[in-house]
Amino acid sequence: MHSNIEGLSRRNFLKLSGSLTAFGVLSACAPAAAPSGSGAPDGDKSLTFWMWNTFAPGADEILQERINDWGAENGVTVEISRDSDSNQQTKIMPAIEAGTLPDAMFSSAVVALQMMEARAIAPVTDLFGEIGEAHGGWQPRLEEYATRDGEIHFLPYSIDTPMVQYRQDVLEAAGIEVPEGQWTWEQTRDLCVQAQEYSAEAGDNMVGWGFGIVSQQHDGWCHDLFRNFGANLWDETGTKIVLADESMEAATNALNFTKEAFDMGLFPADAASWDYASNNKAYQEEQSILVINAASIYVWAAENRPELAEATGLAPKPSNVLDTTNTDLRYTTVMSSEASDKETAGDLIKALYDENIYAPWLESGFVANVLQEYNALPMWEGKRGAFNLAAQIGTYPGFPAPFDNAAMSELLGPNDPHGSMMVRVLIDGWTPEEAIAESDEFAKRVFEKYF
Amino acid sequence: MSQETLRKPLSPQQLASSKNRSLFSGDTRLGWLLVAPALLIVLGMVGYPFLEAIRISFTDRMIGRGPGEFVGLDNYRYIIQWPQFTEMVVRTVSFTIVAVFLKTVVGLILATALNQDFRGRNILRGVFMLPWILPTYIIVLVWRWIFDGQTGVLNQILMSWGLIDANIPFLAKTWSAIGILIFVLVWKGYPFYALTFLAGMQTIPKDLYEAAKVDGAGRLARFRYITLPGLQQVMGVVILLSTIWTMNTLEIPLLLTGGGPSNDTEVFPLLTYHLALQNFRLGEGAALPIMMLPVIALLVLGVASYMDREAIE
Amino acid sequence: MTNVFDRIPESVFRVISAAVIGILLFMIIFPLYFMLITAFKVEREIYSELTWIPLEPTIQNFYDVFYNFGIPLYLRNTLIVAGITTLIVIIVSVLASYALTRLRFPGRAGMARGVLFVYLVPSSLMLIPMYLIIVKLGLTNSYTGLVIANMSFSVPFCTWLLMGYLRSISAEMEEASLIDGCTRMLSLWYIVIPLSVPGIVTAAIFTFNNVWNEFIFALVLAQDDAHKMISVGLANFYRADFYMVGPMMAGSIIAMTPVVILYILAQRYVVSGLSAGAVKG
Repeated sequence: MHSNIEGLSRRNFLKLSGSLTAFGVLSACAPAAAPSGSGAPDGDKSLTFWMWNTFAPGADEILQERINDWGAENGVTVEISRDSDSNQQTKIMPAIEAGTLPDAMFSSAVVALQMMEARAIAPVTDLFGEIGEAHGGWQPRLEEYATRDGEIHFLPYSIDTPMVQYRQDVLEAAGIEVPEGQWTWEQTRDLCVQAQEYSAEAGDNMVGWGFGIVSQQHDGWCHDLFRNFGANLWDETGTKIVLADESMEAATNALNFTKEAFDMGLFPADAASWDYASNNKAYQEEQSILVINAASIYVWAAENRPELAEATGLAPKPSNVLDTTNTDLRYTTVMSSEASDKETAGDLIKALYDENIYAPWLESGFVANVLQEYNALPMWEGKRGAFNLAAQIGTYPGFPAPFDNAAMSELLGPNDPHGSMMVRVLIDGWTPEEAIAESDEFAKRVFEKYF
Repeated sequence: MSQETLRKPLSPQQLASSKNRSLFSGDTRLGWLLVAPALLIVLGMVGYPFLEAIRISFTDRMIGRGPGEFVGLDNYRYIIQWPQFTEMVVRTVSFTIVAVFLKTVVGLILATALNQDFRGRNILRGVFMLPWILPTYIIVLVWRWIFDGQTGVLNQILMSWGLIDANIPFLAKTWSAIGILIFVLVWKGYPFYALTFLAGMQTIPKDLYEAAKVDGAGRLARFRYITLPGLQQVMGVVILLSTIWTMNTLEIPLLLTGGGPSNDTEVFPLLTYHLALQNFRLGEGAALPIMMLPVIALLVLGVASYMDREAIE
Repeated sequence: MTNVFDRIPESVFRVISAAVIGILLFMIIFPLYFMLITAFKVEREIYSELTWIPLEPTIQNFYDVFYNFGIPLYLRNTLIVAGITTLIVIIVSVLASYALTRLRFPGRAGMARGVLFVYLVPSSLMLIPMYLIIVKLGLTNSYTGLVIANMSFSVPFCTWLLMGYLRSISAEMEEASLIDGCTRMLSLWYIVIPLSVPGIVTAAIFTFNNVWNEFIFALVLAQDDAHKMISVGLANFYRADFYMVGPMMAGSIIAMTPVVILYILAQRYVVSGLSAGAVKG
């Protein structure tokens, strides 16, 4: 019996002492490892700031470092919290509810719109003007896109410019001639079929297209395809769903076109299980000949496998009836409507666009800049310049309406009709009409909640 | 102390016999005192949020816009009219049943095996607990990479052995995706079963087995008449709880299949996540889990009555 | 009457058992091995053809994880929160389960039966209301807040588990000690608890592990580095559309080591507790 008691106390003791020792050891390491921390010794002012991990860890580190430097120089203690980009909504939602949003933060445009609806972020129209003036003006049409009801609530920070990235070397070896500038979807299909055949003969068995067939859109190719075929979900006001009423024919064309391509074997065999990272992986592992993605793939290749970057050709996204290529804001900066010190928060935000912070961040990242002053950066020479160009001519979300809204954000989430229709037709074997009818009804139900 | 008294707990009547009655005064105060901390935690951190959530489900509350207005059953109607709602319910229930069943079987097998004496037993026990100990997030990703349709480990192995000439997209075909989901659920969850069964088995006196062997009982008989009854309480609890937890598990379906090829693995927690948490809609986000409560309760009652029936035998 | 299980000679049975265990073991080791070698590979090798032994082994991933991603810090946080939570949950559960099985007082039966029903409530339902409570108490970004949230997940199960163990243990010894003049609490400490060591250890491991792996509440309740948990820290290796696989694997291996060690240690005490003859009485 006694040994039991000792056994019990010993166990507890062991556990406690084990944890304490571990705690001790780790705390010794911790200060060396802790990446965040402020610079200002006794900041009379303090701010909280949230940022997200992007594909370029180097860029994130630099940004955080520079923000701390700024804090030190200006007597502000900046408490930075960094998390995975995919956790934005989970982290932000409860914070809005409880009123604990940070003073300033980065956020994706989609989330910014929702925050705007929830009246959680403050208008920053003045800041927009000041920043634009200080840096040679914003890129074209950004002001138009950002202004809602006469006010601006989110400041663009980076533009995502998905482009076609393809294996130039494979096409060359196959003797395929690549059209100049923007391809059409038919060309995209035909060229890739040829390249795929060539690859099969050569024993590589690469797949022509690197697109996923899932409801939640990851690489946006569905949306672009529908749009360029002229099949719009909503009308020019952005408040009414017109899929079945007006876009039936165009949508049917788009779906039939893709079904043909699918039957030709252009899609990867496991396309139905792809996620956000799948097309990156497919291209990085040399499984796909052509993908549509942001510059992250190209940048990764440039860093980790230069031969692949060399072999990669870039082209704008394909066209059909329309030749719009879409672009959107990956990050915006916003200020909480409950920020206690809006002026200092504004100063921090302005500093984010200054050369010592913005330029290095851009250079180690993969997105396009929002301010014209940075067009002249050396990084835009060479192949990368294509991404910047695409940013400037791209169409912002919401087309054919002037800009997007919270209803669209909800609609284009996990059950994006564009993706769903593709899944129905390609994977479930439905007819285009059935798929369109289902998505139309779903979209209408979502929009009903808002308008 | 005889064997029988060790196996059968004293009934309240026996405890309350005249010899002991005087010891029960003051029980009430002590009882409530001891229970108080647990009760406080449960009422405060579970009961209250639950009631709040029910209230919210009848409103159109959205994030950050204040309490929202009462909308009656609108949220519930919206969810029921969700195209794949019934399918989702059926799917969730069937996956759960299969997964729980498999976990029980594997747990029993392993617990029996690890209950025996052999060298390195402790190490082996530690190893078998690993799936449970590992962060879910990571392990699901690893399995995902293994089953990947393009360059997954499994595909590469099968290729190099010449068993297949084209990669199999395991996660993109309905039945294999479902199978893999259940497999990972079982892989991650069985240690919990094995651990509790093992602990339960160790309270069964070894002498019972010895006596049974002497009486000529074979392996199966010993298992059926000694091990299983001895594990009854434990099994009941574990199965009940695991049923509920398996039904509610989000990370695994989310990261492994994301709803699977065309909604084939869209289970209830995933739908909640897709429907509500990503859209700032608290009203709907509360209504869906509440709607699933009757389903969960029925399932639980089903399992409970089955266990009771076993007990009576 | 004989059946298939009994007709097999002992030696064959042993071989079959070993084979079954071997298969199960393989299913565990296989992904873990994969994890292990990936942690030692460089980025470009991870995305190339599969190799069973890294061609270009590197410890860069571990180095990155330690110095650039704050993993040790998160480990420390998680150890603290898990340790404290486990301690509190065990104490609370032991007290409550003892009361519910050994004492008689009004309301006992209802509570005993109702313990499990708590779990019918899905955690997705509780996220926001629970978060609001923690915020109102001013406990975000604190160990206390994390402990409180995590406690509520484990207390019902641990209470129930211990109730089960206590019910299956005869109360005769306690009764004897009470007659001899022991108080309830002393009897609890000297008799009941030692007898329930397997149950207590199981409950402790369960709780500790739950805290370790818990993600959503950890994400929402603790954002600053001084309190961030390891589950959230590991998720940071997924960046928008690209997994930093090498560091992720290295990080996970580091993350799981403390729990594994703890478990192996705890194992020994389960055995010793029992072999000391508690069951034989």
